[in-house]
Amino acid sequence: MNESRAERFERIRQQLGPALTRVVASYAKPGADHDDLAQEVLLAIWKALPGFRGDCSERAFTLRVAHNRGLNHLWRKPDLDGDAALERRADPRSGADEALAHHQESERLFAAIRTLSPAYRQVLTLALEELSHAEIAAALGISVENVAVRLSRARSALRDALHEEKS
Amino acid sequence: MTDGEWQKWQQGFRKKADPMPEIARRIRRGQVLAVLSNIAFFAIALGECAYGIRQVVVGADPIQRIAGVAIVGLMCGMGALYVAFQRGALRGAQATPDAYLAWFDRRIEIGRRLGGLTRWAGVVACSITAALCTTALMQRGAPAREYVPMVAIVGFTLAATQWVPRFTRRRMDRRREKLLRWRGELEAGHAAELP
Repeated sequence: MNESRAERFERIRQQLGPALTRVVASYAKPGADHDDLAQEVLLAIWKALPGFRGDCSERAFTLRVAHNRGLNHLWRKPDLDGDAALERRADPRSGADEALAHHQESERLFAAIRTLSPAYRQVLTLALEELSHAEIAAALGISVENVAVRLSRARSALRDALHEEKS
Repeated sequence: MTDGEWQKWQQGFRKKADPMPEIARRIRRGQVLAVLSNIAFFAIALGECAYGIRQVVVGADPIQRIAGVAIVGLMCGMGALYVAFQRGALRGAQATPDAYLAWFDRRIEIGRRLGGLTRWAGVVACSITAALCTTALMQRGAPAREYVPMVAIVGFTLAATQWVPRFTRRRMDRRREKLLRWRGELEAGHAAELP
Protein backbone atom coordinates (compact mmCIF):
# COMPACT_ATOMS: atom_id res chain seq x y z
CA MET A 1 0.00 0.00 0.00
CA ASN A 2 1.60 3.24 -1.19
CA GLU A 3 0.21 5.67 1.32
CA SER A 4 1.95 9.00 1.77
CA ARG A 5 2.77 10.28 5.25
CA ALA A 6 0.06 12.96 4.97
CA GLU A 7 -2.58 10.45 3.81
CA ARG A 8 -1.63 8.03 6.56
CA PHE A 9 -1.76 10.76 9.17
CA GLU A 10 -5.17 11.93 7.98
CA ARG A 11 -6.49 8.35 8.02
CA ILE A 12 -5.24 7.89 11.59
CA ARG A 13 -6.73 11.21 12.63
CA GLN A 14 -10.11 10.17 11.21
CA GLN A 15 -10.11 6.56 12.45
CA LEU A 16 -8.51 7.04 15.86
CA GLY A 17 -9.74 10.59 16.49
CA PRO A 18 -12.26 9.65 19.21
CA ALA A 19 -9.75 7.31 20.91
CA LEU A 20 -7.12 10.07 20.85
CA THR A 21 -9.67 12.52 22.26
CA ARG A 22 -10.20 10.13 25.16
CA VAL A 23 -6.44 9.85 25.76
CA VAL A 24 -6.22 13.64 25.81
CA ALA A 25 -9.20 13.86 28.18
CA SER A 26 -7.47 11.46 30.57
CA TYR A 27 -4.57 13.92 30.91
CA ALA A 28 -6.11 17.38 30.52
CA LYS A 29 -9.26 19.05 31.76
CA PRO A 30 -11.79 20.26 29.17
CA GLY A 31 -10.90 23.72 27.90
CA ALA A 32 -7.84 25.39 26.51
CA ASP A 33 -5.54 22.88 28.19
CA HIS A 34 -7.36 20.03 26.42
CA ASP A 35 -7.20 21.75 23.02
CA ASP A 36 -3.50 22.47 23.40
CA LEU A 37 -2.73 18.88 24.32
CA ALA A 38 -4.87 17.56 21.43
CA GLN A 39 -2.77 19.57 19.00
CA GLU A 40 0.46 18.48 20.69
CA VAL A 41 -0.61 14.84 20.46
CA LEU A 42 -1.38 15.08 16.74
CA LEU A 43 1.90 16.86 16.11
CA ALA A 44 3.78 14.15 18.02
CA ILE A 45 2.03 11.45 15.96
CA TRP A 46 2.90 13.27 12.74
CA LYS A 47 6.56 13.41 13.76
CA ALA A 48 6.63 9.81 15.00
CA LEU A 49 4.95 8.22 11.94
CA PRO A 50 8.15 7.71 9.88
CA GLY A 51 9.65 5.88 12.87
CA PHE A 52 6.88 3.24 13.01
CA ARG A 53 8.56 -0.12 12.34
CA GLY A 54 5.57 -2.40 12.85
CA ASP A 55 6.70 -3.79 16.24
CA CYS A 56 3.05 -3.47 17.34
CA SER A 57 -0.26 -2.54 15.72
CA GLU A 58 -0.62 0.94 14.30
CA ARG A 59 -3.36 1.66 16.84
CA ALA A 60 -1.17 0.61 19.76
CA PHE A 61 1.75 2.67 18.41
CA THR A 62 -0.43 5.77 17.95
CA LEU A 63 -1.94 5.47 21.42
CA ARG A 64 1.54 4.96 22.92
CA VAL A 65 2.78 8.18 21.31
CA ALA A 66 -0.37 9.96 22.53
CA HIS A 67 0.15 8.68 26.09
CA ASN A 68 3.79 9.74 26.01
CA ARG A 69 2.70 13.21 25.01
CA GLY A 70 0.19 13.20 27.85
CA LEU A 71 2.92 12.12 30.25
CA ASN A 72 5.07 14.97 29.01
CA HIS A 73 2.15 17.33 29.62
CA LEU A 74 1.78 16.09 33.21
CA TRP A 75 5.51 16.32 33.77
CA ARG A 76 5.72 19.90 32.63
CA LYS A 77 2.63 21.13 34.48
CA PRO A 78 3.05 20.45 38.20
CA ASP A 79 -0.11 22.39 39.13
CA LEU A 80 -2.32 19.76 37.49
CA ASP A 81 -1.84 17.41 40.43
CA GLY A 82 -3.85 19.69 42.64
CA ASP A 83 -6.71 20.03 40.20
CA ALA A 84 -8.36 16.73 41.01
CA ALA A 85 -10.45 18.17 43.84
CA LEU A 86 -11.66 21.00 41.64
CA GLU A 87 -12.60 18.57 38.90
CA ARG A 88 -14.69 16.54 41.30
CA ARG A 89 -16.73 19.52 42.48
CA ALA A 90 -20.39 18.73 41.72
CA ASP A 91 -22.23 20.87 39.23
CA PRO A 92 -25.48 22.29 40.76
CA ARG A 93 -27.31 21.61 37.48
CA SER A 94 -26.68 17.87 37.73
CA GLY A 95 -29.81 15.81 37.20
CA ALA A 96 -31.67 18.66 35.49
CA ASP A 97 -31.47 17.07 32.12
CA GLU A 98 -30.79 13.46 31.17
CA ALA A 99 -28.37 14.28 28.35
CA LEU A 100 -26.52 16.64 30.62
CA ALA A 101 -26.47 13.98 33.32
CA HIS A 102 -24.99 11.47 30.87
CA HIS A 103 -22.38 14.01 29.82
CA GLN A 104 -21.56 14.74 33.44
CA GLU A 105 -21.30 11.04 34.18
CA SER A 106 -18.71 10.76 31.43
CA GLU A 107 -16.87 13.87 32.65
CA ARG A 108 -16.87 12.48 36.22
CA LEU A 109 -15.32 9.27 34.93
CA PHE A 110 -12.56 11.20 33.14
CA ALA A 111 -12.02 13.41 36.19
CA ALA A 112 -11.57 10.23 38.28
CA ILE A 113 -9.20 8.77 35.66
CA ARG A 114 -7.14 11.98 35.83
CA THR A 115 -6.59 11.41 39.55
CA LEU A 116 -4.91 8.02 38.92
CA SER A 117 -1.16 7.58 38.62
CA PRO A 118 0.15 7.53 35.03
CA ALA A 119 0.87 3.78 35.17
CA TYR A 120 -2.74 2.95 36.07
CA ARG A 121 -4.17 5.63 33.83
CA GLN A 122 -2.43 4.23 30.76
CA VAL A 123 -3.36 0.61 31.26
CA LEU A 124 -6.95 1.47 32.19
CA THR A 125 -7.63 3.77 29.24
CA LEU A 126 -6.12 1.26 26.81
CA ALA A 127 -8.30 -1.49 28.29
CA LEU A 128 -11.38 0.74 28.08
CA GLU A 129 -10.47 1.24 24.40
CA GLU A 130 -10.92 -2.54 24.11
CA LEU A 131 -7.31 -3.28 23.24
CA SER A 132 -6.38 -6.88 23.99
CA HIS A 133 -3.92 -7.58 26.83
CA ALA A 134 -1.30 -8.48 24.21
CA GLU A 135 -1.82 -5.16 22.43
CA ILE A 136 -1.62 -3.24 25.71
CA ALA A 137 1.57 -5.12 26.57
CA ALA A 138 3.05 -4.19 23.19
CA ALA A 139 2.02 -0.55 23.57
CA LEU A 140 3.40 -0.22 27.09
CA GLY A 141 6.43 -2.48 26.65
CA ILE A 142 5.47 -4.75 29.57
CA SER A 143 4.50 -8.41 29.89
CA VAL A 144 0.92 -9.64 29.47
CA GLU A 145 0.96 -10.80 33.13
CA ASN A 146 1.94 -7.34 34.24
CA VAL A 147 -0.91 -5.87 32.22
CA ALA A 148 -3.35 -8.08 34.13
CA VAL A 149 -1.89 -7.12 37.51
CA ARG A 150 -1.73 -3.45 36.70
CA LEU A 151 -5.23 -3.43 35.24
CA SER A 152 -6.68 -5.10 38.31
CA ARG A 153 -5.08 -2.47 40.55
CA ALA A 154 -6.11 0.33 38.22
CA ARG A 155 -9.75 -0.82 38.36
CA SER A 156 -9.67 -0.81 42.15
CA ALA A 157 -8.07 2.63 42.17
CA LEU A 158 -10.71 3.97 39.78
CA ARG A 159 -13.53 2.47 41.83
CA ASP A 160 -12.07 4.08 44.97
CA ALA A 161 -11.76 7.42 43.19
CA LEU A 162 -15.38 7.28 42.02
CA HIS A 163 -16.66 6.22 45.46
CA GLU A 164 -14.63 8.94 47.13
CA GLU A 165 -16.23 11.45 44.83
CA LYS A 166 -19.76 10.20 45.61
CA SER A 167 -19.19 10.22 49.37
CA MET B 1 -15.40 -5.82 40.18
CA THR B 2 -18.50 -6.82 38.18
CA ASP B 3 -18.90 -6.94 34.40
CA GLY B 4 -21.79 -4.52 34.75
CA GLU B 5 -19.60 -1.94 36.46
CA TRP B 6 -16.91 -2.32 33.81
CA GLN B 7 -19.46 -1.98 31.00
CA LYS B 8 -20.88 1.13 32.65
CA TRP B 9 -17.41 2.67 32.75
CA GLN B 10 -16.83 1.67 29.15
CA GLN B 11 -20.09 3.32 28.08
CA GLY B 12 -19.19 6.51 29.94
CA PHE B 13 -15.70 6.39 28.47
CA ARG B 14 -16.91 5.90 24.90
CA LYS B 15 -19.40 8.75 25.19
CA LYS B 16 -16.51 11.09 24.69
CA ALA B 17 -15.98 10.76 20.95
CA ASP B 18 -15.19 14.24 19.67
CA PRO B 19 -13.02 14.35 16.57
CA MET B 20 -9.46 15.59 16.90
CA PRO B 21 -8.73 19.11 15.61
CA GLU B 22 -7.54 19.80 12.08
CA ILE B 23 -3.88 20.74 12.28
CA ALA B 24 -2.73 20.53 8.64
CA ARG B 25 -1.84 24.24 8.63
CA ARG B 26 0.08 23.92 11.87
CA ILE B 27 1.99 20.93 10.51
CA ARG B 28 2.91 22.82 7.33
CA ARG B 29 3.96 25.85 9.37
CA GLY B 30 5.98 23.61 11.69
CA GLN B 31 7.73 21.94 8.76
CA VAL B 32 8.64 25.28 7.19
CA LEU B 33 9.85 26.63 10.54
CA ALA B 34 11.90 23.47 11.17
CA VAL B 35 13.60 23.74 7.76
CA LEU B 36 14.22 27.47 8.23
CA SER B 37 15.62 27.03 11.74
CA ASN B 38 17.91 24.22 10.54
CA ILE B 39 19.14 26.35 7.63
CA ALA B 40 19.62 29.37 9.89
CA PHE B 41 21.44 27.40 12.59
CA PHE B 42 23.82 25.58 10.25
CA ALA B 43 24.43 28.70 8.12
CA ILE B 44 25.44 30.64 11.25
CA ALA B 45 27.53 27.72 12.53
CA LEU B 46 29.32 27.32 9.17
CA GLY B 47 29.90 31.07 8.95
CA GLU B 48 31.35 31.13 12.46
CA CYS B 49 33.52 28.08 11.70
CA ALA B 50 34.84 29.70 8.51
CA TYR B 51 35.64 32.85 10.49
CA GLY B 52 37.34 30.82 13.24
CA ILE B 53 39.42 28.80 10.75
CA ARG B 54 40.47 32.03 9.04
CA GLN B 55 41.57 33.42 12.41
CA VAL B 56 43.65 30.29 13.04
CA VAL B 57 45.26 30.30 9.59
CA VAL B 58 45.97 34.00 9.06
CA GLY B 59 45.86 35.25 12.66
CA ALA B 60 48.78 37.60 13.36
CA ASP B 61 48.99 37.03 17.12
CA PRO B 62 48.32 34.06 19.46
CA ILE B 63 45.16 35.66 20.90
CA GLN B 64 43.48 35.62 17.48
CA ARG B 65 44.48 31.99 16.90
CA ILE B 66 43.20 30.90 20.33
CA ALA B 67 39.94 32.73 19.71
CA GLY B 68 39.66 31.00 16.32
CA VAL B 69 40.12 27.54 17.84
CA ALA B 70 37.58 28.39 20.57
CA ILE B 71 34.99 29.53 18.02
CA VAL B 72 35.40 26.38 15.88
CA GLY B 73 35.20 24.15 18.98
CA LEU B 74 32.12 25.93 20.30
CA MET B 75 30.30 25.73 16.96
CA CYS B 76 31.13 22.02 16.50
CA GLY B 77 29.92 21.29 20.04
CA MET B 78 26.71 23.27 19.55
CA GLY B 79 26.07 21.51 16.20
CA ALA B 80 26.52 18.08 17.79
CA LEU B 81 24.19 19.01 20.67
CA TYR B 82 21.58 20.37 18.27
CA VAL B 83 21.50 17.16 16.20
CA ALA B 84 21.62 14.92 19.31
CA PHE B 85 18.73 16.82 20.90
CA GLN B 86 16.55 16.54 17.79
CA ARG B 87 17.22 12.80 17.37
CA GLY B 88 16.77 12.14 21.09
CA ALA B 89 13.43 13.96 21.14
CA LEU B 90 12.20 11.89 18.19
CA ARG B 91 13.27 8.57 19.72
CA GLY B 92 11.84 9.50 23.12
CA ALA B 93 8.39 10.25 21.72
CA GLN B 94 8.04 6.70 20.35
CA ALA B 95 9.46 4.86 23.34
CA THR B 96 7.46 2.69 25.72
CA PRO B 97 6.39 4.47 28.95
CA ASP B 98 9.21 2.88 30.99
CA ALA B 99 11.78 3.91 28.38
CA TYR B 100 10.12 7.31 28.15
CA LEU B 101 10.52 7.84 31.89
CA ALA B 102 14.14 6.70 31.59
CA TRP B 103 14.55 9.26 28.83
CA PHE B 104 13.09 11.95 31.13
CA ASP B 105 15.56 10.85 33.77
CA ARG B 106 18.47 11.19 31.34
CA ARG B 107 17.24 14.63 30.34
CA ILE B 108 17.13 15.69 33.98
CA GLU B 109 20.61 14.30 34.62
CA ILE B 110 22.04 15.97 31.50
CA GLY B 111 20.32 19.21 32.51
CA ARG B 112 21.82 19.04 36.00
CA ARG B 113 25.31 18.24 34.73
CA LEU B 114 25.15 20.90 32.05
CA GLY B 115 24.04 23.34 34.73
CA GLY B 116 27.14 22.65 36.83
CA LEU B 117 29.34 22.72 33.74
CA THR B 118 27.81 26.00 32.59
CA ARG B 119 28.64 27.68 35.90
CA TRP B 120 32.28 26.60 35.78
CA ALA B 121 32.55 27.26 32.04
CA GLY B 122 31.04 30.71 32.62
CA VAL B 123 33.66 31.57 35.23
CA VAL B 124 36.52 30.25 33.08
CA ALA B 125 35.31 31.81 29.81
CA CYS B 126 34.56 35.18 31.42
CA SER B 127 37.95 35.25 33.18
CA ILE B 128 39.83 34.38 29.97
CA THR B 129 37.80 36.88 27.92
CA ALA B 130 38.34 39.62 30.49
CA ALA B 131 42.08 38.89 30.64
CA LEU B 132 42.50 38.76 26.84
CA CYS B 133 40.42 41.89 26.23
CA THR B 134 42.17 43.81 28.98
CA THR B 135 45.59 42.81 27.60
CA ALA B 136 44.60 43.79 24.06
CA LEU B 137 43.18 47.15 25.22
CA MET B 138 46.22 47.89 27.36
CA GLN B 139 48.58 47.08 24.48
CA ARG B 140 46.67 49.57 22.34
CA GLY B 141 46.65 52.13 25.13
CA ALA B 142 42.87 52.42 24.81
CA PRO B 143 41.01 55.05 26.91
CA ALA B 144 38.91 53.92 29.91
CA ARG B 145 35.57 54.25 28.10
CA GLU B 146 36.56 51.42 25.72
CA TYR B 147 36.67 49.06 28.70
CA VAL B 148 33.00 49.70 29.52
CA PRO B 149 31.39 47.45 26.86
CA MET B 150 33.79 44.63 27.72
CA VAL B 151 33.03 44.90 31.46
CA ALA B 152 29.27 45.06 30.78
CA ILE B 153 29.25 42.04 28.46
CA VAL B 154 31.51 39.93 30.68
CA GLY B 155 29.53 40.93 33.79
CA PHE B 156 26.19 40.10 32.20
CA THR B 157 27.47 36.76 30.84
CA LEU B 158 28.94 35.84 34.22
CA ALA B 159 25.68 36.68 36.03
CA ALA B 160 23.61 34.72 33.49
CA THR B 161 25.85 31.65 33.63
CA GLN B 162 25.62 31.64 37.43
CA TRP B 163 21.91 32.39 37.84
CA VAL B 164 20.28 30.40 35.01
CA PRO B 165 21.74 27.00 36.07
CA ARG B 166 20.50 27.53 39.65
CA PHE B 167 16.99 28.21 38.39
CA THR B 168 17.17 25.22 36.01
CA ARG B 169 18.45 22.95 38.77
CA ARG B 170 15.55 23.81 41.08
CA ARG B 171 13.08 23.09 38.29
CA MET B 172 14.83 19.82 37.44
CA ASP B 173 14.74 18.78 41.12
CA ARG B 174 10.97 19.32 41.25
CA ARG B 175 10.50 17.29 38.07
CA ARG B 176 12.76 14.54 39.35
CA GLU B 177 10.61 14.20 42.49
CA LYS B 178 7.57 13.62 40.32
CA LEU B 179 9.48 11.22 38.09
CA LEU B 180 10.68 9.18 41.08
CA ARG B 181 7.09 8.87 42.30
CA TRP B 182 5.91 7.64 38.90
CA ARG B 183 8.80 5.21 38.57
CA GLY B 184 8.04 3.90 42.05
CA GLU B 185 4.48 3.21 40.97
CA LEU B 186 5.65 1.50 37.78
CA GLU B 187 8.16 -0.62 39.68
CA ALA B 188 5.48 -1.58 42.19
CA GLY B 189 3.47 -2.85 39.24
CA HIS B 190 6.44 -4.88 37.99
CA ALA B 191 7.13 -6.29 41.45
CA ALA B 192 3.53 -7.41 41.77
CA GLU B 193 4.13 -9.71 38.83
CA LEU B 194 6.75 -11.70 40.71
CA PRO B 195 5.59 -14.80 42.70
